[in-house]
Amino acid sequence: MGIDPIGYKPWNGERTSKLDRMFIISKTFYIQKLKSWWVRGFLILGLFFLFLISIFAFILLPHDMLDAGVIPLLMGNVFFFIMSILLASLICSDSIAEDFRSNSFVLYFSRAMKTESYLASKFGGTFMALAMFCFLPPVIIAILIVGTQSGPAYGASLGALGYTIIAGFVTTFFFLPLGLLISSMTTRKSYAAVGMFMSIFSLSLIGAIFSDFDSNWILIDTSSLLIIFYDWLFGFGIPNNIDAGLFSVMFSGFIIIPLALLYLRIHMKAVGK
Amino acid sequence: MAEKDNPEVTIVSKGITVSYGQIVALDNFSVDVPSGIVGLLGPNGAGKSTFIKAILGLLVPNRGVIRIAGHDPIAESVLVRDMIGYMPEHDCLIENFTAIDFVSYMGQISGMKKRDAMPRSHEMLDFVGIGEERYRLISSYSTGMKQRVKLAQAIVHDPKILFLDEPTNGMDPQGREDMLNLIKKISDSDKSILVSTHILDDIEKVSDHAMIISNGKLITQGNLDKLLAGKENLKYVQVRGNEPARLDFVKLLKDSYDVRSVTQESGQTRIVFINTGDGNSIFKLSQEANVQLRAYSPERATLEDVFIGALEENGGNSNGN
Repeated sequence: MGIDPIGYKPWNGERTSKLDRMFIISKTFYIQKLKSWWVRGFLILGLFFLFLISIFAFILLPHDMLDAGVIPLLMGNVFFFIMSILLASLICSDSIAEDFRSNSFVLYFSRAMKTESYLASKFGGTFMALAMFCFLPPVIIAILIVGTQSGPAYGASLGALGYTIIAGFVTTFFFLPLGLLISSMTTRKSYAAVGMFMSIFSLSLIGAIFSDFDSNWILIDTSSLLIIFYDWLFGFGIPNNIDAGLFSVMFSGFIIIPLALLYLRIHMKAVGK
Repeated sequence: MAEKDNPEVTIVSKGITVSYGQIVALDNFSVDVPSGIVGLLGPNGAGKSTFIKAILGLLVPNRGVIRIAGHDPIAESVLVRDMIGYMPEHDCLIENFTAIDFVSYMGQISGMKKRDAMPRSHEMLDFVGIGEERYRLISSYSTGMKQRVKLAQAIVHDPKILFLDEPTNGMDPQGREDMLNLIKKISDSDKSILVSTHILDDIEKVSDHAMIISNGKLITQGNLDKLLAGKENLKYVQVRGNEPARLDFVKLLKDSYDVRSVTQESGQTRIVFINTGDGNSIFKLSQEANVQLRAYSPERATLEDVFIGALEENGGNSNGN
């Protein structure tokens, strides 16, 4: 390996926008994730057992039974939650931890990148990967239901499709702030993955135990939060034994608090504190 | 801003203080960094890397002002960082990438389109001497190869200002020589390069200007030739002749001057002494002692002499070296 006689040549090309640069990070992360055998495995497992079987089941159902109520049933399924949490844990685990471990974090921030851009890129990449399970399949099923319905209520069906898009989007995004926060607290992706899964599992356990005393305790369980959200979104309302205000606080708190802590953590790291 | 009007000064730092809790890494640090290759010298823990991080805007100083080409690296971080290439001291490569993918990725997040980044990355990897190995995962690379990839990622987007933190770290002698040659070649294309190192030979080989820092303070700085010329009017004289005559000459010289060292080299005597005046008296003394004057010239100090001298003057230490 010798030094090539090629000299240093300047480059005078046109610079891309900040948005393009962020998209490169998101896309690269997404592609890397799709190369992971663990992610592929869980994705295939989840898609097969949940969505493929659902599609077959819906084919067998009479068309007039296929309505907006099917989607919250599908997305409120326990298997859907377990797979979502497992995939979110796997996908988020190394999103930031790997940058800390390899110290490549400093390379991102020595370039024209601010904390917000870095985080937005990471959210973009993890969102694209998790959307493969939490967003795209429910939307595809909703499209199939609308496309194959025989009744005249096309407007209502299109509304259900819109709600499914919102539900898929929120479900995908819901786990990311916590996942990225935990990933930013360690340099080991295995710790981050286990940490995220165990955090959500522990919250579910605590929620289930204390809900015997007060039904609002269920609101610290992420799956319950999402089920109540689907019910509310698809027009079934919030259960009577749940405080609607507390639900709003818990739901937004589960997103906003990790997001704020994550921002602070990355900002402090970026300025070397 | 005055700095904007002066193209010779690329970085201006005025009264920078950076502390990590109780530890003050940079203490009221003021310096004007000129263009060209500038060496930033100091023992381990002197504050070199902290200074580089501060000028990159990677950490916010507690006090003071920094300007890069007239711009504030904190308020105008995006603009400033587009002009900068940074090669960190420690490992920073994503090991499950190949070198070509990694350098291209870094090019793209520095604002290059993929169609520009890929050929440019090949060019830069050719330049730093990474051949077919570029298609292997970085995790399989030696330390020297990783250093080369680190340099390639720092220059892929053709920055105007380059910060190299310990660029020869962990490299074998040939690798070090290659790296220094690469730095010289890069500087030929009108770049400002700040090289932080504690390997003094490296700086002596490539730099035009050096700054010495210790305990977070600037001890001395200046053009390398001036620094090496010394402050003490150190001169050396070399004489030839029979041994008693040479001994006489040394005695005469000692009577009139502050002689620092006398060495015998194959029938010649080399004497280092301080002379603030001209050389006429030396010629007279050599005639008097009947020796042949072979050389009389300023004694050039090594950077190590300058470095240790500067640290001693300032009560610092050179343990790191």
